[in-house]
Amino acid sequence: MDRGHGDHRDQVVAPPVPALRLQRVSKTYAAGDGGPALEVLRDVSLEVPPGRKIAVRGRSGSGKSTLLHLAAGIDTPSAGRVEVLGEDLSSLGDRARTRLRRDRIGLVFQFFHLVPHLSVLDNVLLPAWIAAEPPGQAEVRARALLERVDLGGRAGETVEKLSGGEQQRVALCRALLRKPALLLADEPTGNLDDDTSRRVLDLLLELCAGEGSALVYVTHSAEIAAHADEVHLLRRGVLERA
Amino acid sequence: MIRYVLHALRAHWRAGRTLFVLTVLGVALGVASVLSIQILNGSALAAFRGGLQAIGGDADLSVLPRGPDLPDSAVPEVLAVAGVRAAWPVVQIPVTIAGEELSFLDVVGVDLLAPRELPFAGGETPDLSSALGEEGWAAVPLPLARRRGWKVGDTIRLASGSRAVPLRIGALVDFSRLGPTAGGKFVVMDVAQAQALLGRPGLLHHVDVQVQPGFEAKAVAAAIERRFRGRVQALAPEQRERQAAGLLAAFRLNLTALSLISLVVGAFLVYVATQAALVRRRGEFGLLRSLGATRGQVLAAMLVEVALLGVLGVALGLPLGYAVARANVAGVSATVANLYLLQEIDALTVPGWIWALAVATGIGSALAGALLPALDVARRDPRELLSAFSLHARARGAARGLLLCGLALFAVAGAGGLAFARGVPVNGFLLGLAVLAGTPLVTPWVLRQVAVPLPVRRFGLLYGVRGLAARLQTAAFATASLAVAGCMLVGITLMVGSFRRTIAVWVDSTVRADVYVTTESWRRARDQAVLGPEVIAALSRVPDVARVDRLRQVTTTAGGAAVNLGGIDMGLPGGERRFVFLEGVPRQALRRARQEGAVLVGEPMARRRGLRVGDRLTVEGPEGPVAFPVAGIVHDYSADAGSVLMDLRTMERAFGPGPIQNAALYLVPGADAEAAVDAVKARLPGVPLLVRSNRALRREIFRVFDQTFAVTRLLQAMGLLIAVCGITVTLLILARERVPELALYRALGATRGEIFRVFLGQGLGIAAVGCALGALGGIALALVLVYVVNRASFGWTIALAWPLPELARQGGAILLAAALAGIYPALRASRVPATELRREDV
Repeated sequence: MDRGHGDHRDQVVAPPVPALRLQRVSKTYAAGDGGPALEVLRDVSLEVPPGRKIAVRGRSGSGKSTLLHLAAGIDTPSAGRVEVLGEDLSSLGDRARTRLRRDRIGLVFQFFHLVPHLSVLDNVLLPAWIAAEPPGQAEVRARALLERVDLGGRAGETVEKLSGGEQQRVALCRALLRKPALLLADEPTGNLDDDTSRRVLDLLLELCAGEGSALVYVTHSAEIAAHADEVHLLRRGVLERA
Repeated sequence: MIRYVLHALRAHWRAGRTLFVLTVLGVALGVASVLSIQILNGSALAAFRGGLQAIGGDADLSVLPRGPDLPDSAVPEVLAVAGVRAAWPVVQIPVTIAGEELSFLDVVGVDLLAPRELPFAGGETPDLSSALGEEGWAAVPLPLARRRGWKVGDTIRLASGSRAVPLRIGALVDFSRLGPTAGGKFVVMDVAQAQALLGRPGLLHHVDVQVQPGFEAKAVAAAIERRFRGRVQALAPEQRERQAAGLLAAFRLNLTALSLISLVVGAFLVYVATQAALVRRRGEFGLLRSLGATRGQVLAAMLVEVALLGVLGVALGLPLGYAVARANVAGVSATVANLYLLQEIDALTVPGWIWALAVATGIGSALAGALLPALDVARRDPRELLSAFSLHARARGAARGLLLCGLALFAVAGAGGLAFARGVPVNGFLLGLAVLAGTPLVTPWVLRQVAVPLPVRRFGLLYGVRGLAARLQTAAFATASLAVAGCMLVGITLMVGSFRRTIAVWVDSTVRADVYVTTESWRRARDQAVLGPEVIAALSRVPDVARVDRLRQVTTTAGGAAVNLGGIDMGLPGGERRFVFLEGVPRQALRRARQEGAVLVGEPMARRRGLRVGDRLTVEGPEGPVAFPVAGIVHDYSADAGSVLMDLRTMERAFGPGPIQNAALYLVPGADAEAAVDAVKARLPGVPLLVRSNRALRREIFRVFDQTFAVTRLLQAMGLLIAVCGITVTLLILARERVPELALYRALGATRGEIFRVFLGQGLGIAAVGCALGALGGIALALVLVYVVNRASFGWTIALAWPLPELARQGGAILLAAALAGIYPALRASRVPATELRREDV
């Protein structure tokens, strides 16, 4: 990581702007067969202050994942404005959006998305490799994170040997490795049993609090959503405060 | 199911044409190469058969000398054998059209009034009795006359040795009336005139015989051989054809090997294309299996699809193969005529079985190329097929077993090489095959060992290389293919480079005279291409010539095989430096050659016959077998048949006085060789000579050498094709297999450039490991070729040399091609968006 990025991150400790701001965001997909376009998000607005934990609830197909993709800069809105830490994503090119995601955003997925041919430690280190960080510091932090999720003793194992809950804990460590200002989690407990879900969620909230990261997580479960500072409902592409 | 296959073919043709085209091209390449080589091989033999038909007509037997010549007196002796209905003499002398070095024709002298009739064009026989009285009357084949623009009444100038002979075209003959392949570049004339005009008085090439009805040709042949006390062999046309096939065996084997390499490359293209197509369609086959299709049905569906594409490839390959054969007929014809002294190929002959073979080869190679990937898909269960991501765990497990098999093959090759060195007869080609088969088998294990421990600390090239271990099955095949291509390339480059270096050393020792004089027809006519005595005399009068060294050549047989005997002046001061001795003391050997009539035997012949210094070599002389003591074994790369050198006086004692075929001029110190060449040409104007300075002769030797081994360029092209196609398609497969993983990288913040570099790293990793294994396997193959195959097949000792610049150039070309081949898949991979990260993936 170059010095410019490091300085920038120091400012994140007390950012003057919201971690995420969506202003009247819409997302429409053109139908492939010439039929009517599909509007997945309609006029969605949301502001996530630094350190705030926000849950977005909705049924399958309600547009939850699309919302997260737009917030992460993976996808672009059809209308409206997405700002991450004050940066308007629509003003950034693909490369700059990718850099922003790499340096300021952490992602957690329902199905963990660990790379099966890497060890537990290497999976956590992957964002540092992508960012070309000096290996020593990153490894120290990766091991520390694994210790915090009780996987310190399994750093050298392949991820295929881990249970679902363990894999999601590895994914949490990977998302937090580079101290992101914004953590986006897509159904982080959706693939886990109830007990494991609760433990993973506690860990997610605890780690975010410890790192000072803002958190937006989407879920279909009211119980999981209830742990957030704010809960929003997404119905047929429209977001409203619960 | 067939309806499903046809629907699927249409759908996938619309989805992407590249893989279809690759499969069709792969099949077409194999079909074209096999077809063209088989056509050329068959046509070479058909040309020889056609020549026999043209010259011999309906003769049942040909009586050929075992020794150097057959005298005229043989005809009445043959006629005296019971069962001989008719016998007529034949003189056959290779000549050139004067002034055109490589335009060979055969002057065939026959008894124009013999019982066999020449097929004169138009069906009208000219007045042959007046033809006999006209000096230089000749008949030429219709196609040759048309090609050359000759017509009846024209005069043509032919060169036989140093003689330039004018002939008048008195008639045209149409040999095609004797048979579909009958023909050849013949000039037919009266036998007595041919002998007189071309300097072969009283000597025949052979006698053609018709057997009386009721007698068996075989029994008559035996009776003739008995009458001549074994000094002749009486052969039926089929036997002569078999002899020609034997002469051409090595040449035809080489061509066939080349076509097989092309076939393997074609099957490789089918393999990678099929594998890529199946990766794309795994989900589809998973669905079919889920719906109840059996493994057999899925396998059959895949193979039928490929077979249908194979049919398209065959349809493309057949005309392509014929066109390739037509394009190469001149080169092959020249080799057959000049190197093996057989008939030139006038026309291509394609019997039905060659077409059938080509079709079977095409469909077979398509199925062979597709079988492994199809079996792999058919073996998997539906759940595995429907999952978009799976590691190649099975390949990991198989790597160790394959390694053991590969090492066992290397051990076999090593043990075979050591056994050969201790005198145990070993088939060198099988050892080479063991090396070639062992190299790909060790590849998966080596690739994994190289990739897994890489210290990855960045997301870039090394990360890409390490990822190869996770998809071993896909990556190892491309790597192994590249290793095999590299193995062949390095092995043959090392062998050819070593051979070239050895020849250079040998030429330095043996080519010592300042100027060499031979004739235009010598390359094909050999001992019949005579330098007239007036030419020898004139050479000694050329200014600055200190000495004329004469070479007399006699072709005879020893133990039934042809032998070239060379007579030279063994008393030349310092003459022992002209030879590189393998066995024997140089000065002592030359003294024995002068005083005791001993001979120096070339290495190939010595090896083939197990001759050592002190043994005796027996060859056929004019009056029966003649034995010579062996005084030395010398390096000899002039012919794989081998040659024997003796003093001119020894040769005269054994074979009688005879003409000289070549001369070497030694100039006074300080004289200019090129000026001497000009002086010789000026002194002998109009004489069809080839006069070359020492430097020009060396240049010519290496030009011929390089031309002979030009095939290495084809291997290089094949290597590059494998590198480019293998790596491109493999990386495309990997890109396809890894879409979810690549999307994850993008989601985690990897830029397109970084993904591009990861893929480029994979291409370079495959290339580097493939090239390294190819280089090691190639060195092993070179050792087998140099120390086993060459010695066993040709009897040549070659000193291993390392043509490093050439190897570096070829290795660099493959690496560069591999890097370039990785660019397109890397671009494709880098364009995978993070939105491709689907929930069920990874």
